[in-house]
Amino acid sequence: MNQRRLAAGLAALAVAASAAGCGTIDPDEAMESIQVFAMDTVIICSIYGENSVSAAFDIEEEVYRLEDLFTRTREDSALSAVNASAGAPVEVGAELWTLLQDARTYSDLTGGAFDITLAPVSSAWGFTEESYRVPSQQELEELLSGTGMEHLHLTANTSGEGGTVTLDPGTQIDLGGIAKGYVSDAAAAIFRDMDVPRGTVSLGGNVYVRGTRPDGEPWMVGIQDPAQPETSNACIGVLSLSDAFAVTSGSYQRYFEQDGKIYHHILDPQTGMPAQSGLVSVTVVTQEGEGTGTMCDALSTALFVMGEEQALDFWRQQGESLHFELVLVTEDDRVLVTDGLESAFTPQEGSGYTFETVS
Amino acid sequence: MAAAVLAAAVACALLFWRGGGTEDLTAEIWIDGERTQTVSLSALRESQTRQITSNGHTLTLTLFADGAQITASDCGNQYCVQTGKITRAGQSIVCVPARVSVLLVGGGDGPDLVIG
Repeated sequence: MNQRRLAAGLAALAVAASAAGCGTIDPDEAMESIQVFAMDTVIICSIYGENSVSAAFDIEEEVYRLEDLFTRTREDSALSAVNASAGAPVEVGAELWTLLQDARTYSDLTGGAFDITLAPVSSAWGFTEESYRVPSQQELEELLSGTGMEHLHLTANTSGEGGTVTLDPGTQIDLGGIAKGYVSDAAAAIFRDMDVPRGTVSLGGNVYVRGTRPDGEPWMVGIQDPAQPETSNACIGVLSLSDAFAVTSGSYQRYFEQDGKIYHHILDPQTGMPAQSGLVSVTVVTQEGEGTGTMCDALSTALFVMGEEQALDFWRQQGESLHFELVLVTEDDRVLVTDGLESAFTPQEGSGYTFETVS
Repeated sequence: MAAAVLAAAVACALLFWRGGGTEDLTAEIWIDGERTQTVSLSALRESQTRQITSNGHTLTLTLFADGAQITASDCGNQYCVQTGKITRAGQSIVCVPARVSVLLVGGGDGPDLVIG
């Protein structure tokens, strides 16, 4: 696989050099595109620069390595060892430990709207196993008795690396709302370490853009129109971004229909039901920084659950210290853009939405 | 001199950069991490339907002059079908069970990539 990829990459460079007719290529402009299927999604990367091929290798390996740690549906993952512990303490390495602590932080910050312990509820709906059904109220109530971060106990190792995780019996963890953000942070770190001058990473609603486009302009990142595909105008607007993360959570991304009703995958931790918050999508945007991809991923889910008013209050309280901005799309076709993005966001004309800047 | 070198570098880069408006709307078909086909959509006179079999699943992909759509799939989650028709550069259709993706590039002033 890797040898084939390397050969393809080198061939692409050679073809590009001759097709461009430029004699020699500026090594900073060579580009490698890769796709890796992992973590129940696909990671799509465009990587520029003289190290693009080796950066692509590193990202592919890193994605598989993190998949081995964080994926609930893989029986041999480090997370699965925790989920299978039946209440016994489990020693975990530094990265899983860090991500669990991050999850706790964002759960605390959002008053429990972000909750990694919803795993059994998500399974009851069939979103994890892709065999959909509508659970009964009684079933949900029983499952909710084992959810909440109070059922997750973290004890740091004295060495400062990793720690011990104990789950109350019946409690299970799913990192699907935060692990992709961690992967995008890891990809950004590889870009930095390998001196990648520009590139993009896209995975399951998470985007990271580095540097500028080859023409020197910021990357143009469209936000998907959440309307049904038949009536969709593709994008509600476009963000001009450099060295930034943007993550969208939308009710249109994963759903099923039963008896004429649509059930989507973003669950409200209080009810165990698909969140009915009046929002159809939430996009969280932040500049590149330590762990900010992880933050965007967690917040996009939490703010969807919280709804317009609470999400904007949260932004007013935390936006400055956490350095994030928002684009919210409401059920009644309004697009709310926080004022820090005013110059970066271009609304899509003719999209049928009303655009408001929020301060 | 430096400006000329920079201009040449940018000119070269634009030839490789496929997200923006320098070429016709094009569909890239990727199977299991490899780009297997690139189809110029703008050149299509009528829609084309093709079957893609990968990882134990079969998908029906329809290509139009203005976009692409997976119109049928025997995968379990049907997310690829629910995505509907994509029409702008930067959009993609992904079928994780079949390990297939269809990406649109080029074709005017579309975004470089689309989130969501």
